[in-house]
Amino acid sequence: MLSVAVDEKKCTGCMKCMRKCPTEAIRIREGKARVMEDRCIDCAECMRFCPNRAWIARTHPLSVLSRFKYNIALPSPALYSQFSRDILPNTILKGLKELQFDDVYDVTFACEFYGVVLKEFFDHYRERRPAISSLCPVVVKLIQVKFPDLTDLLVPLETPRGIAALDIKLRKSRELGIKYEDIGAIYIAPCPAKIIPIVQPQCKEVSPLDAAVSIADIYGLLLSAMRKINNNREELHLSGGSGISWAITGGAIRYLGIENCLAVDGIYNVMEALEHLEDEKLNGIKYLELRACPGGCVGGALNIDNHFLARNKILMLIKMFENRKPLDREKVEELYKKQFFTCDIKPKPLPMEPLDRDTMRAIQKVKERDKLFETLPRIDCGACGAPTCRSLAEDIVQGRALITDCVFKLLEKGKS
Amino acid sequence: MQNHETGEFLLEKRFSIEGGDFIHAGEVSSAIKKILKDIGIRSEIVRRASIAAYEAEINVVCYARKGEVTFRVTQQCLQLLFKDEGQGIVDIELAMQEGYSTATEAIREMGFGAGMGLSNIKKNVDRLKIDSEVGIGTCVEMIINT
Repeated sequence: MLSVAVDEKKCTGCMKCMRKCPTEAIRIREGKARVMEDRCIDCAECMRFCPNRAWIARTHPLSVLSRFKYNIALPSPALYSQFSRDILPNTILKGLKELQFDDVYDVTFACEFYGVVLKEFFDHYRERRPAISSLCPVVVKLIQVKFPDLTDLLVPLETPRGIAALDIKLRKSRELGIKYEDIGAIYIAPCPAKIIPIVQPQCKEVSPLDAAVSIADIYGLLLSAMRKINNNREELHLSGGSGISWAITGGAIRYLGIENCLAVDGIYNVMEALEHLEDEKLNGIKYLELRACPGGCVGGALNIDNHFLARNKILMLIKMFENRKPLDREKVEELYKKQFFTCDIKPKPLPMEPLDRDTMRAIQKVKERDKLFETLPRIDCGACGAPTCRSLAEDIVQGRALITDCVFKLLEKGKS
Repeated sequence: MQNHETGEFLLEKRFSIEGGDFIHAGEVSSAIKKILKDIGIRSEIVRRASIAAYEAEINVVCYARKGEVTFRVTQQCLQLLFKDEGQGIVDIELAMQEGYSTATEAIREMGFGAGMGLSNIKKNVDRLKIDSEVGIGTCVEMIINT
C-alpha cells in the first residue's frame, strides 16, 4: 500500500518529484510519474515539490465517519500550530467536536504519558547502539527498507496516537454501551504516511486507530466550525507544554532529561544519520529521534502553514502551558498496567532486493551497469524518465529501460 | 597475500583518496558499501567491511598525501587493499593498540585520531596485513570471508 497516488490528469511528467525522491522510487513513463512500490517510503517529498498538485494523499475522506456509530477525532499535535496565534488548542478541539465528530481526544495529553514511559525505558536501556524513535512511519519504513539491520533498534512502544485511541475507545465503549468496533478513532493527520500503520499495524495486531483524515482536507471546515463554538468552559485541552512539545523535532527531549540524545529531521538528514549509525559512528548516543519532515510533524506535507512559523507557534504554546499542572502519574500507571504501551508485534526488515538474488549474476549486473554508466552523458538530464544516468544504467540492466531511452544515445544511433 | 590464497576475483573496483580531504572522507567506503548491498552480500559482512574500509580511508586522509584503494570480490572473500604515500607507521604493533594515536591536535579537533582506527579494523576483518615504511607510505590489506 502506498500513502500517495498520482492524478494522471494533472501530472505533466515535469520530473520535479522524480528528482526529489530520496529513494529514487519514481520514473516517468509515457509522460506520467510512476512509483516503484517496494522503494517508496511514504515521505511525500513528491507531493511537497509537485507544481501541478498531481500527487494525492491516500488519507480517508471525511465521509469515512459514516462507517462508525460514534466518531472521535484525535488530532496530531501539529494541528495546534496551524492557526493564528490567538487560537488556542481548546478552541481547535471544540471546533473539531462542532465539525462532525461526537468527541475529541487531546493527543498531546497521551504524549505526556508516552514521555513518562519512554523516560522509564531509557532509564533501563543498556544497549551499545542507540534506540530509534518509532513515531514517524516514514522513519520506520525507511529503516525496514534501506537499513533492515536497524529495525531491532526501534523503540518498542505504542505511539501516543495509538495509546490515545485505545484509552478513549475503551472508555466510550463502556460509558455509552457501544461496541468497541462501532467506535471510530479518526486521526487528524499532518502527513499521508500516518495512514500506513493503520493499514499495516506496527505494534498491536490491530491498529487502535481506524482512519486518518488530512489536516488540509478539513482545514476550511474546521475554520468555520470554530466560529460556531459556544463559550462554555468545557476543557478539552488537557496537556501541558511537554505534551505539545512532541509536535517539533527535539521538543520532547528537553523535557524528558534522557542523556545523550540526537534529534534529526528532514528525510536526507535522517538517511545520513542512519548511514552513520549503520557504520557505528554514533557511539555514545542513547536515543536517536528521527523525523522525516522538516521541523518534525509541523513540517508534514498536509499542513497549511509554513513549518518555521508552525514551529514558532508550538514554542509559544509550550511556554504558555509550561507549568499548567502536574502530570497524572496514576493515569500513566493505569494505562501501563492495561498494557497500552506494549507492542505485540515488531516491524519486520523489508530489505530492498539486490540486483539479483544470485550473487554471481548480481556481480555481472554491477559490472554491466557500471560499464553502461561510463558510456552515458552523466548529466542526469532526466529525459529518459530516470532520475540519474546511474539509475538509467541500472534500469537497463534490470530490463526496465532501453539504452535508446537516453536521448543522447538515440541521437548517436540516428547519426550512425 | 597472493591470488592463489583467495582465488580469482569476480569483481574489482579502484578508487583514489586525497590526503587531507576531510570533506570527502568516507565516500570510498560508502561506495564500497553500496556495491556490497547491490550484489546481495549478507548484511553482517557489509557492516564489517564498511567499518573497516571507513577506518582505513580515514587513516589515508589523516596521514598520507594520497592513496589508492583496490576492492575485490572473490568466491570466498572480500579483499580491501589501501596503499598510500605518506608518513608511514613507526611501530605497527604499538599503533594497533586501542587508544594509541600519533594524530596532530588539528586532526583531533576534527573528531578523528582517537587511536581506535587500526584496532577497529582488526576487530572487523578476518585477516589483516600491514606493511609500512616511515616517510614512504603504508599498505593495509584486509580480507573478510564471505
